[in-house]
Amino acid sequence: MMLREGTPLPTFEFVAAGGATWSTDEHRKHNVPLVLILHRHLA
Amino acid sequence: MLAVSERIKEFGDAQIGVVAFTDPARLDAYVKHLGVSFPVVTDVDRELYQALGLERGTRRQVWSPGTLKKYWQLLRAGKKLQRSHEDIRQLGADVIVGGDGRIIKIFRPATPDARPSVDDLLAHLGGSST
Repeated sequence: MMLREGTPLPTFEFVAAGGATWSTDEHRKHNVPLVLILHRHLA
Repeated sequence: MLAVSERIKEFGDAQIGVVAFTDPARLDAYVKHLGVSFPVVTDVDRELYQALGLERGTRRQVWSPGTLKKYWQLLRAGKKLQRSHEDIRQLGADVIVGGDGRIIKIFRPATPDARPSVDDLLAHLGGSST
């Protein structure tokens, strides 16, 4: 199902520079917003 | 994302993450090239891209007049363009997520050069639950 505004963002875990794991859920622990910039050509 | 980086203080406590789909082996060089202070991660399988319904653009979308103009501006500014090792047809997005984990806003530009302004991002961030 395609994600939409108003729905919860599921947790995604990705590899960060240096090999660490980065989670899209981390910001919720601090109750702060998250801005995701999904790369594209020219980004 | 460079515009975001230049105005990073205005984002306050918000976390910012750049999601690419590059080979993890290239990630360190990629981060160095971008020169941003926030996390840069890679979604190799493009799971998030697919979940957001982000498609691969047509040639017309990818090489839109706006994209070509942007390249021209970069060249005129003395930037060196490098051959991409990535899928240049993959379209991107910018997503604002509230502190409660709910998606507040998804910007899905139709062409690579069309991006929300920093002011647009901040406007939606202002309405998030912090």
